[in-house]
Amino acid sequence: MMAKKGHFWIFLVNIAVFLLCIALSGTVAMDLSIKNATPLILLPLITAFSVFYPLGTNAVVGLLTGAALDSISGNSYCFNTIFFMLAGVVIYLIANNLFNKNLWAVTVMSGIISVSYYFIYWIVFNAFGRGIGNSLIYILEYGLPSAVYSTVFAIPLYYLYRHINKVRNK
Amino acid sequence: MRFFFRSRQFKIILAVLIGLIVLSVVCIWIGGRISPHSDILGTVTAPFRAVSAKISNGVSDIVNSFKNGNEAMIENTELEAEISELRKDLADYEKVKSENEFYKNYLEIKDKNPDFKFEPSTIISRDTKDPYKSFVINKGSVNSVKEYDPVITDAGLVGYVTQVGLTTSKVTTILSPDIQIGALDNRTNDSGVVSGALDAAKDGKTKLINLSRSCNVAVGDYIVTSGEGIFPEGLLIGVIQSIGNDEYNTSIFAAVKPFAKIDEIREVMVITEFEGQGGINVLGGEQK
Repeated sequence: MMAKKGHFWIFLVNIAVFLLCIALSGTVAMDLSIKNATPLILLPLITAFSVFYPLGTNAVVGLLTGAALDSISGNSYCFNTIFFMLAGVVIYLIANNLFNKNLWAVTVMSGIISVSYYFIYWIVFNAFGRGIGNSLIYILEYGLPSAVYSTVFAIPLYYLYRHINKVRNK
Repeated sequence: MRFFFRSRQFKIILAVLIGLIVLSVVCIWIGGRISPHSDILGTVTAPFRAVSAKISNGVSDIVNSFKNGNEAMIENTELEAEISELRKDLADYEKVKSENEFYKNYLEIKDKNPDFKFEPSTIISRDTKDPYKSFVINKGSVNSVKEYDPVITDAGLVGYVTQVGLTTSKVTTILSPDIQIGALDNRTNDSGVVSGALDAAKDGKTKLINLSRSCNVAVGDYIVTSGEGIFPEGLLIGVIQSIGNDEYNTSIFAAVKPFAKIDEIREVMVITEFEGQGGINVLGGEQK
């Protein structure tokens, strides 16, 4: 009974964290931008989450998070839905087969996921439509700084999910 | 790892992935529609997002009021200097006369277009990844909003609707290079095309391009829509802030500061009907 109650609170905390990060991704009121770098906190969040949770949960959470982000940004091509679902699966596989589940691994994986996200986003939405030369400025001035800035958030999120994982396993 | 590829979980994930890719291709093929899963989620969460936008705007107001409080003294000194400058400006009769004339003309344009049908909308989310500040409004096809409908505020043109869902729509702003608007200098009648660029969007500006080298445009001139393409004639766009040569030195361009403060707007009007709607598309990028 106690364990079930504990899991319920963990579930609520997870929902709250994801909703907060989704809300932060769709508002400019609490703008965390530094010059051109705008963090997408959902990227380190899905990384930190997927390291500690099972594969199926990661795929479902990634799918829902991506769909929410698609809905917020009015993106019609399911880009975020596909990316976040795959990210959840890939991070789980890497964390359980190649890396340890420590801060260094989570930060590196978050960095790789963030850079990949902005790079693929640039290819799909900028390079195809506007030509590589014309849109290169996007990846250099917006994409890469935003990816680096997003990765910074992996540190607090790693500690949050490490703590949640400890409570879960008690 | 190899066991994973043989597992049932992998097969389910692969099936969902293929389903999403098919959905994505269909959305690209149809164009102008928000994808079904985003549309359903958008419709279900629209009321929550409207509440969230209100809370977020409230937080923004509080933060701004604190900022303003801290800067009140500095601002007061600056305002005093500004008032004395404004008094000098007021004495400039010609300028005032010209501006009055412009606003009179604008009112006349509005009076001349009783066919405009407006749909008031609220911004419920913004794409913070988009340097061109696109956003989502709380009106969709059930409110008669269609793809390419112009979006304005009382200050001027904001952009146009690029994707329509059931109860939400995506608006691409005039800062985006995907938009190309036939435009006129209101003083000289010189024509050009308003289209965004990343370097201009960083400063919240757009560009009036394809201006002839013999044109008479000047800093401070107002830019309005010419009526070609998807926008009705006479909508205010912005004011020219600087003029330069294009990279091949064949024509000149003007940096235009939009009248609508795209970063700060919360409410917009969608023009769902006007005379001459559905004319030639002069859109760049994904022309449908």
